Amino acid sequence: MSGAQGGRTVLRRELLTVLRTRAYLALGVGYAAVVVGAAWFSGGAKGGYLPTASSLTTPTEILVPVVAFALGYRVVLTDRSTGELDVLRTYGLGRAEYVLSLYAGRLVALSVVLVAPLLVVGGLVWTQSGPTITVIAWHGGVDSPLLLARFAVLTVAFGAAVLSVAVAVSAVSGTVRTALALAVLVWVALALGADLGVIAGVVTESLGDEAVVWLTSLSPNTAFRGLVLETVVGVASGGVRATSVPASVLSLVLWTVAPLVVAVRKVWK
Amino acid sequence: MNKTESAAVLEANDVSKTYGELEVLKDVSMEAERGRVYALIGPNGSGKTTFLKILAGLLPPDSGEVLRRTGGAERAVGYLPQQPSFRDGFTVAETLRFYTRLLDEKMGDGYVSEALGDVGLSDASDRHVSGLSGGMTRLLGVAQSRVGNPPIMVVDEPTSGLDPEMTGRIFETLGGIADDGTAVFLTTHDLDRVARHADEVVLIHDRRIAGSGSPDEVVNEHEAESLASVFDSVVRGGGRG
Repeated sequence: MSGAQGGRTVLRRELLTVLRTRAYLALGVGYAAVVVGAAWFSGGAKGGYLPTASSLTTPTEILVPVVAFALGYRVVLTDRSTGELDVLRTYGLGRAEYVLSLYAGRLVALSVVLVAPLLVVGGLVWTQSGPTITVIAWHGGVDSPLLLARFAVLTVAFGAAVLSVAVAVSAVSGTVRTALALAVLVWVALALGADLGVIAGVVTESLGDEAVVWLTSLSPNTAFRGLVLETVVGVASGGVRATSVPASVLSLVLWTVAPLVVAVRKVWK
Repeated sequence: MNKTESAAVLEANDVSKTYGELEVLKDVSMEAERGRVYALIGPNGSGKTTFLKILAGLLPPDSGEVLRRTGGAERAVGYLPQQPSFRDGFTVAETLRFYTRLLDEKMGDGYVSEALGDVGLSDASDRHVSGLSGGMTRLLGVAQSRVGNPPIMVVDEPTSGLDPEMTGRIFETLGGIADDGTAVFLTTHDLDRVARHADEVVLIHDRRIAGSGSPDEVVNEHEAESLASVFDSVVRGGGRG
């Protein structure tokens, strides 16, 4: 067996598994309903692409980890508990091939779940704003479908990082209960921990402005938020430096790569 | 079977394994040839599954070695876990096709049909795996463990929880696979079936092999009436027969 061949086979199975699992489909539909609903009821869709992306930032920041963890927190664990990992090893499948293929399959599914509602939202903005207006003046900058596309790319990058953490949680957990507890713990730490740390630093005046800018890149959540502010909202509003773009990009890359390394090392010995 | 095929396909030399402070296996050695069914028996917790996994290469021994002479086999060892469970949402044929593609993406539906036919699951090929009975799931597991025709097959308690009819079917299927030239290792508590279907019995007790040979040899050696009597006398420390 070649590594690529085994990897392709595992990836294909992961995609089909997601596609054929009703709970995942329900999750995708629910996520889409919230995103489209948030865009519609916030009035962002009528305001343009930028207000829409802006109004979706917080719901995305909260919901993407939920979707990503739901897709990934049991994926290795289930294969381990059923003896499937041992079976796959007898086919010569390597640890890296297995974990990366598993991850890639789930990431493709996650990307579809995350991007599809944004396409619908883009369509709504298009119809609400009028098809002839593709670039409009807005505050100090411009509004454009490109901004929503950037937002979509950042959302997928954010989801990729959290999914990687979820797969690592799955690889290091011995039981579903442990995996669930660890997933919740990690999510809370990522969602709140970094923010609270920055706030504490600012309130106690122990952090300088430059340190705050860098610290806002620490967690996937804050890196995502910072990148949205810098590369989507900031393009139009101009000027305000919310975060360091290179640091935030590096943060998302590290949050994607490091957990996968952990998962590869822990999946089996 | 020619001379090469009859040579030991697997050799375990002085294998020891410890979990924490619990020594499970101590200097266990055995040889196995192709075309034979080896039944590992012993009380719960005696290290049967551990030994099986070491033989399969899924668990490293703390000391000792396991030599597998599998030539250029595409897949050296086939493995069926104790409670096989397959991904929901897939049919029997799709499930088996997944495993065949791990070895060879071009391995066609013909192989899948034939493999399912060999274990008596042809009629169930379009059924979802979640709808299979325990016995049919094991049979699918047997078909999976046979993909690639590995010269060694390791099967962990393939009949636990199954009715007598299905138990017989599993043993007959495994016997057929051995007849095709595979060394089949299995663990089980069904000593009557072992007496009827196994070529070799390996009784593991107190970290060591407490007896081995053909079922008749083991019974005679212990001057017992049956394997169950041997098991009782060895495990309960009552000495021979």
